[in-house]
Parts: sequence; C-alpha cells; structure tokens
Amino acid sequence: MRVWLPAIALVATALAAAPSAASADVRLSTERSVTRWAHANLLSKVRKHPTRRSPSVARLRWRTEDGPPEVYVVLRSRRVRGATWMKIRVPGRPNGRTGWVRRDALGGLHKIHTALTIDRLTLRATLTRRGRVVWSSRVGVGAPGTPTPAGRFWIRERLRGFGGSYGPWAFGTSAYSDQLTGWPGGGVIGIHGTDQPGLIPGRPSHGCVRVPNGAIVRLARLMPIGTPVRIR
Amino acid sequence: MTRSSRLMATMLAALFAAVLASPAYATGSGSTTCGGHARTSGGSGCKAEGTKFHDLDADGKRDSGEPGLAGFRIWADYDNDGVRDSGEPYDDTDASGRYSITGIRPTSSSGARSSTTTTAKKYRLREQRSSGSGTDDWTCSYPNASTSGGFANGAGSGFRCGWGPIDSTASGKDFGNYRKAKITVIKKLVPASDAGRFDLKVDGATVKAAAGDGGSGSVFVKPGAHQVTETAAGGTSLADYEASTDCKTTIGPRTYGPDWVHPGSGDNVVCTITNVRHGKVEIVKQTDPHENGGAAFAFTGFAGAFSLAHGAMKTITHVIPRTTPYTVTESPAAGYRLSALTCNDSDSTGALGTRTASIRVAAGETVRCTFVNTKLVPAIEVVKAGPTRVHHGDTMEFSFAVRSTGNTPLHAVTVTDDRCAPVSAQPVSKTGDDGDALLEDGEVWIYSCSKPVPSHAAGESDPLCNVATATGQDEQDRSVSDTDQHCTDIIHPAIALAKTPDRETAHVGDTITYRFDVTNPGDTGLTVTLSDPRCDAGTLAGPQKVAGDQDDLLEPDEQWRYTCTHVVTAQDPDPLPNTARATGVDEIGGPSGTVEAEDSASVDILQPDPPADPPADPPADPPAASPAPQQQVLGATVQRQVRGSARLRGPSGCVYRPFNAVVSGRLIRRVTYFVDGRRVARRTARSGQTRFTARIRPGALRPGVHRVTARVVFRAGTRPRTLVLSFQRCVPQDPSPRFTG
Repeated sequence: MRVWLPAIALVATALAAAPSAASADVRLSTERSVTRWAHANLLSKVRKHPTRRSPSVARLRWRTEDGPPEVYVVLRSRRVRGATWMKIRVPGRPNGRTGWVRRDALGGLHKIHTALTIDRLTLRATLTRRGRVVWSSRVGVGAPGTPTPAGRFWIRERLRGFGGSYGPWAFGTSAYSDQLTGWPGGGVIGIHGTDQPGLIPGRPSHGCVRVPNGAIVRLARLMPIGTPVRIR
Repeated sequence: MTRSSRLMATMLAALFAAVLASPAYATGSGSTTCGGHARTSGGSGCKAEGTKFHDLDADGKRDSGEPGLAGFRIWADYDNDGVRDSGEPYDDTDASGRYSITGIRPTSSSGARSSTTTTAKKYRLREQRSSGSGTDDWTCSYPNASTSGGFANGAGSGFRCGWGPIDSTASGKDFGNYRKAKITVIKKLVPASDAGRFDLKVDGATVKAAAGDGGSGSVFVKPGAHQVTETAAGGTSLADYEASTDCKTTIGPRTYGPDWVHPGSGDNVVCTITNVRHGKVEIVKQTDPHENGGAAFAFTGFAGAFSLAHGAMKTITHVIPRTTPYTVTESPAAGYRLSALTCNDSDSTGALGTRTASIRVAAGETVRCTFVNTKLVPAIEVVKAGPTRVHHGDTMEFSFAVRSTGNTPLHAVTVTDDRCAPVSAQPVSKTGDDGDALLEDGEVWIYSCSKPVPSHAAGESDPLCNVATATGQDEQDRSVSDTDQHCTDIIHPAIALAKTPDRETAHVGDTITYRFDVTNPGDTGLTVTLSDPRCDAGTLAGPQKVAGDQDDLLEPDEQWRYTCTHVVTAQDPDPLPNTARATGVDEIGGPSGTVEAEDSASVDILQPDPPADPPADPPADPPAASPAPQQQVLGATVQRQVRGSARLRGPSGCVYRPFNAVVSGRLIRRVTYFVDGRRVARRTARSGQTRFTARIRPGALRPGVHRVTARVVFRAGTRPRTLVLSFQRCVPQDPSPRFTG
C-alpha cells in the first residue's frame, strides 16, 4: 500500500481489534471538525480506566441541573477483552474530568461538525463548522474576581425565551465556576444574551459569557447540542 | 345844652368823622374811593375789585401761570351772613378772573361801631358761584386765616373765605380757589390670573383692600404731592413680584417721582400699579451615561458662577420677566461633549456651539434648561478576515475592517499585524466615508496585507494565527486599540488506499472480489474517486461508508469501502496484478489540493484448475446474518464457528413521539421487548431475518426515564442477551437556567 502522507489509521486499527486484548483507540472526536456525543443509557459509573475494576470518578446521570437530558462528549473508543469502552468528558467540578464507560451505557452517538472558541483575551467568540468560521461576535466574560474558567467544555443545554439578563437564548455549558461553588445549580457557566449590551465587550459577568442579543439569535441557528467549547 | 357844650360836641363829631375818613383807618390796600365816608344815601359808594384765580397747587397764593377764573360772583356781604342778599352789590368774574364791584354802600356792619347813619358801614367781600349757591367742588384757598385782612371761616355754607370787614374802597381783593384732585389706583397683575392680592394706598390710607387684577380704588385729595403705594395682602409676598407704578393725569403732563403723584387742582389721576410675578429658572445637569457622584461641570451666567454634577439642579428664583434673554453658559469639560441643550419653553433656546442657553422668562414662568454631556468613550474595532484554509505555497490575503465603535471620531488610525507586514498604511477602501480624515461612526476603513504561506519548516504553527492591532486617537488624543485574531488552517490533504482481494489464488473462470478501503490520513475532507483497470466493467460498487457519517466527504476519521469483481480469464497474466488508484480533492482543489494513492494486489492463477470452486468468503464487515461463513485456504474449505450478535438501537434523550426500537444482528431466533418490565412485543425470526422492530409509544408513559429491554435468543452456540435502551419522556417546558450570569 502506498500512502502519500503518514496515516493516522485509527479507524483501521479499531476494525482489526482482537477480542481478547486491548486494541488501539479509535478517535471519535477531534473537538474541532468532528465531535460525537451521547445521552446516558444506563446510570453507570464512570471509571478512570477502561476496566471494571478501575476506580470510578463519577456516575452518569439522566439530566442536567436545569432538567434537560445530560450530554456527554465521546472522545475515543477502545476494545478491551471483547467489550467496547468509550472515553467521555464528564461534566462537573473540577472542570476537565474524563473517564471511561461501557458502550452500552451511552445512547446513540450524535455527530456534529461545529466548534466554539471563546478568547478571553480578545473578548471574541468564534463558531466554526468543519473548520470554517461561520459566526463570530464580541463577548463579555467573567470579571477578574469571578473569571470564566479556561479549558475544553461543551454545550449541554439550549434554552430560549427568558429575556431579561439571559436575553433571548441561553446555552448551558459543562463549565463550572471555580469561585461560585455555592451558586444555585452548582455554578454552571452559561452563554447567553444580555440586557446590558453596553457592557460588551468587557469583563462584567460572574463567569458567564454574554453575547449581544442579535448575535446570540444567530448563534442559536448554528450551534447544536454537543458543540465543543474551547475557552482560552 | 350850653353854647360851649354844643361847640364841644360839634368839634368831637368832626374829629371822629375825620378819624374814620382817614386812610389809616381803612383795612387792606384798597383806596378810598367812596367820595368821603359812605353814607346811607347819596354819593357814589365804595368800590372793590380784584382777581379770581385758579390756585392750581392749592398753596394759597397766586403763582405764575395760575390763570384767572370766570364764573364766580364776588359780592359785598353787608350783613356778614355768608348769603348774598338783595341789595348786596356784586360782580361776576370775567374770563381773566377780574371783578369790580361798585356802589358799595353797606347798610349794616358787624364792626364795633353802632349802625348809625353818620358812621361808616363795613362790609365783607365774599364769593359764590355765578350760577348760584354751592361750591361745585371748589375750595377756597385765598384769602385764608393767615391772610392779612382776610378770613377763612366766615358765616354760611358756601365758600367761607373772604375779605373784611371793609369800610372803604378796596382793591387787590383776590380770591384763589382750587378743586380737589381725584386719584384712582388700579391694580394690574401679570399674569392676570395671578393669585396675588394687594392693598392699594394713597398717602398710607387704603383705597382698595385685597385688590386683584383689575381692582381699583379712588380718593379725592388736595392738589400737591401724594404717595401712591401698595402692600401685600392675604399671604402674598411682594418679593415675588416686580412692581411698577404708572400714573396718568387728565389735565396735562406732570412729573411724578417714584410712587409719588402731584395732582393739580381738579386733576384726575389714574395710577396703575403693575405687579409682574417673578419667574424661575432651573438649570439641570445630566451626563450620558449617568454618572452618579461624577465630576461637576462649571456654569456662568446671570445667576453668577456655579457648578453641577450629574442629576443636580440649580434653581434661580425671583427672575424678573423680560424679553431680553438671560444666558447661562457651561464651561468645556475634558472628556465630555455637550450633546444636548434644551429648554422646556417655546421661546428659550440652547446653542451647542456656544454652550449657552438663552432663557426668556415670562411672568410666573418656570423655565428649565437641561445640559446633557455625553462622556466621550473612544473605541475602535478591527475585524480581520482572510482564508480559513490554505496549502503550503499559497498566498494569504488578509483584510482588516476598522470601525469606530465609540462615540467620538478617531484619527491617526493605524493597523499592524504580528505575522503579516507591512499592512497598508492607508485604507485600500472605505465605506460610508465622508471624505475627511476622521474615522467616524458608520464608516469602515479597509486595510490589507499579503503573506505567503510558510513552507514546511521546524516551528511552523498550524493553524497559523495572526493578531491584528488597530489603534486610533480620539479628539483629545487619547489612544484606543483593538485586536482581532484570525487563524488559518494549513491543510494537508492525504489519502490512503488498501486493496484486498478475496483470495490469494484463483483459477481461470473464478470471480475475484476486490475490496478497496479508502481512508484519509490527512486533516481535511476529500471528494474521492476510485479507479481500477482490473475491475470488470460495471462491477465497481461503493463507496460503502463503514466508518463515519454518510455525507459525500471522506473525512479524516472515516473509511470508505469499494468493491469490484474480476472473472479470471486464460488471458490474464499469472500472477494477476492490478493497481487501484484513489484520488481525493480537498475543498480548495487545484494541484496542491489533489492527492492520490495507489495500491496493488496480486492473485496467483493456479494451473491446472483445482477440482472444485471454493465458495467465496462473505465480506468480513458488516456482519451478515447468512449461514456460517467459510474461509478458503488454498482451495480447501474450513468451517468456522460464528457467534450470534445483537444490537438494540433507538432514540435517546427526550422522546415525544412513537419510535421504533430496532434489534439487528445475526443468528437471532427471537426477540422479546419490554418497556419498564412489561412485555410489549415479541418477534420470532423468519429465515435469514436480521432486523427486528417494535413500535414504542411514549405518550402513554408518565414523564421521566423509561427503559426498553430487548431479550434476544440466538439460534445456537450463543447465550441469550438482554439489551437495554433508555429514553426520557420529557414534558415540554422551559426550565429556568441558574447560570452564574
């Protein structure tokens, strides 16, 4: 076989996995151009390593703090002794946890091609689809005392119609404030509209990302559940 | 009587007569023209004359310019009763006021001497109106009690002044009269609806109490200086008014001092006291945006210098209404622009250029003028645009759209880029530009820059992110800047091809199935075409998208599979080689966006043919529900044990409508479906059936999480399995987010 550039071959190795031993990982989400996510199918424990004897780091749950079904980003899969394990991102504090669950603990995989980047330095958010910029806006982020946390997160909720300080649309993310640990609902960082557009761009919030209402309406048409969010 | 006594008596009588007839005995300055002493009969009698004048100023003497008066009758009042009796001579004053009474022969006298025919009689000069009795509002001012030879309180009810007693001819017996003047005081209020009330006074005496607009009162006064004043009544304060007195006379111009009138005799003076209610001016300060507790702004104007911060108001009371405007000027304040200056009445104006409010205050009016200063907040925005994906060797063209997002124009606008230089010094294009050198609201200035994509080298960044910086200065030379980052992916299209025949050897007449697995080891999606000259015409099938989505792009994590067949002929070379070629074109295309991969495979042609054709293996993936597949090794056939498999698919998350729970797999004999433990369906496999469906209706379930369980029984050799599918029966609602905000 002649290959012009070095092959990643993740899929190929996954297909060739032997049932009796651990196979190479199959990367399911790049979190840039391709991301897969799923709802919980079983309330299984999320384990540190893809074995049943590995310590658990969390447990899957049906719903988010606000009620909609919980969303898990699936990073990769691995065949271990005939069983398929999925490495997922786990919402909750501390931010950035990952773990492994059996394949049947998750529902069907959803595949999306969008990714949202929020730059706290330039106060700009950018949405890409298949790597192309399709939306961009100036934003407001957390104040110095309650900064917006950095890291890799994802969209768990799409909520609309509240008006007021949340504007016409609000997106719940998997990010949690590192400061407001006692906040009702756990201190979930949202991306939402605003009733104080004059504060955008800026750092006026408790951690949430505030977007001008016109921009958040356009964003709502483009950004589905599961969209990875990179905050830097 | 003796001779001597009669002589003595005669001498005394002559002496007495001589005394009475002497000039020193006559009163006044008149001359004795009676022709000797008046007697009861005979002779021409006495004569009296003088002038009747109009004592305009009622000072009891005739001044220059005081005219004579006609229409008065001067008579000799013999009996001093103040009534002209028959026989008492008189004369009416002529147009110049002169009179002359002749033939005065008094018949009685109130003098000390007895009324005898031999002694002189005395008379008095009195006056009355020619038309009869009464005074017609005239008052006698001359002669008066201090006039030598005159009196002021004579008998009678008419004019009680006069001359006398006189017993001789008299001249220069003037009479001076005046009429009382009428002073009418009228109240005028501006505005007329004003509720103020005033007591109108003349010489301190109230002529009209609590007068409102139009109220008036009158009084008759002696000619001379009189003071017309007012005092506030009924809770009214004079301090709230601007007062002025205007008096007019009917007999000619007069000079009036402040609050004083000098009516002449018979004058009719009308004084109007006008009270104009003071106005009020309010100067309100506002800033945009509101800055509570912010800086104070300085003002100057008719009320002096003062300063106001946002939200404060300066109230100027007792402003005298006038048509000439009052002015209030705000001093310039650094960092602010006077953006609005308005007054709430129709005739006051505000000029932004001079920062001055011209305020016209009417009676009782409150004029409010509001100065609004907008805080200057300079801001600039740069939006960088460029290619999102490039290949090595391409040239990236970047554009930088710069606009002013603050509320003040910007100058000295420059753009730099940390990875692309130089950026054009001047805009390459402008939209909404008005031709000046200021970047104003609504204008967009476009700058540009070009940069070749760096070649492969150590340290190359991918994506290649540039940060553009735009700077500008506002009208106070304060600098503002903005940055924007643009990232360009340097894409590396690549394609890989793996060609696999379904056998290693074949005989002439055998059908060889080739499988082509095309993968993408690059980092961008590809449009793929596959060709293989060894495939028989019309047998190339695919792609079957075995990994990844079902769209038309082969993406980095996907795998496409093609198949074709070739029937071995006697003309085929041995071994039978062939080479497949996969071509991928990325989204940019062109030579740098087109990649190719080739792979060859060979099958040995066995000579001579084996006795029988082995059956072909089924495709390894996807799994089929066909009977147990076989594996061919050099023409031999070995049975391989295949285990049953099953998978349950269906929706997850919120479910509102009926759906299918689908079990697919191989070697399945029976599937029984349960919802929350209750059996809802059972499906028994027909021959070769690999897919089993049950219709689940969540509408009858309560809101919450529910579970579909599929119990799968296989044909043989595989233990039954229980598959679980969870879904949520959600009630449409709008949960209230509790984000940190």
